[in-house]
Amino acid sequence: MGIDKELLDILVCPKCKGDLELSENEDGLVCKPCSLKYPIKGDIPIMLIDEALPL
Amino acid sequence: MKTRKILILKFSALGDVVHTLPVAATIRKSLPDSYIAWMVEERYQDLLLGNPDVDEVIPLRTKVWRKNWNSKSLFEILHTIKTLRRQNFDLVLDLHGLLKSGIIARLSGAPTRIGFHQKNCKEKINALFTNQKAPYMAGGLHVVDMYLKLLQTALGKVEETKLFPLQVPSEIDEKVAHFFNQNPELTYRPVIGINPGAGFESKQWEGVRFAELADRICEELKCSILLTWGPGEKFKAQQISAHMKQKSWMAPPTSILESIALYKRMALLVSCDSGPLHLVAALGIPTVSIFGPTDPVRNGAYGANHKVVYKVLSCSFCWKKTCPLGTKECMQQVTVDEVFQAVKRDYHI
Repeated sequence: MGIDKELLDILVCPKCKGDLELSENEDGLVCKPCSLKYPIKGDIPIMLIDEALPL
Repeated sequence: MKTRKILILKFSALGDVVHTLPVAATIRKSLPDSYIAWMVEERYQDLLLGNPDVDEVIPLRTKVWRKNWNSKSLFEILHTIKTLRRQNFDLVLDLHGLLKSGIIARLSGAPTRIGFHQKNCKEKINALFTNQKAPYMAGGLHVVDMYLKLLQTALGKVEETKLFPLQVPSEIDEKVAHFFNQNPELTYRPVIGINPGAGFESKQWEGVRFAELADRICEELKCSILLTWGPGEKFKAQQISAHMKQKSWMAPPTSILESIALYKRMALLVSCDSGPLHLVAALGIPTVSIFGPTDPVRNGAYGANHKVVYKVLSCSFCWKKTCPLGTKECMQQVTVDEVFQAVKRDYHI
């Protein structure tokens, strides 16, 4: 199904509260200033700093 | 960063509004700059006033509109819808799952409207009005967790903030303090509240049993009994008082905020599945509750320090307003001694 574009607009990085972008292969939400990727598992983005992956 | 405008739809009842407070708290923590509005029935709006997680309370007057259907009520409805549309909400969370909440979600004009899976909606038609659905939630989840799971559909897996901020203005607190000052004997011993009322008849326990329980609490646990009641329930509290051998106190008539100030002063509350039960649990005060037609796993007092007394029968958790068998067996089988033992275990002296 993939993440809804409207929802992507609502979400922010839990660390810096900045905007996020969908990664190229749509498997996570990327915060460029923090160099972190929040993975999407089963269509649910995991918006937890501890589970974010470094870029 | 753009401000996200989010509308929460949870109109009633008292317990359900209380159970939705962590949703607002979690949004505030995850999206601190978001603008959070909450549409709620007018009679419950005081619960949200002063809440740091709610920027705007939008009152609904459906009860008044239904009772007095005229051009004025139509004007009020249209005005409410117009106000809602002007807000340009980004996201609506429909935590009701009803036809009316679905219609309001749709009329809000928000591009994203999140609701429950059709099988979790109280009225299945609600699913036609939402455009994102939470995954189906099977039994075993408390409504607080169900609401947070719905939020997860919008915000992803976020750090949940299970807080229930309930503010009481100091003048209201002082007014309630005055009642206690006028009844000093009440406070010589720890105060245990008994709230016999409940939203529908099938959830209520017999008054004579409450009276017997209250006497045992006075005699064996050396506590004072304060009988609390809401609109239309005074006679139930009076009935208990009349059947008791020991002295008890009747609570004064209270508004919602006054009742919070009153409950704050209690050591424990004994209640059926009622709004005050959930209010008291939200205040972090221990409770003992008696359940029958509703499932305590889904709708019980939330958090630690709470005990539920209930029987599992073949007809348990029917969710009917009146017992289909006419016997209220699920409530009748709960004995005074079982409830007393739960109070005794919960209340260590």
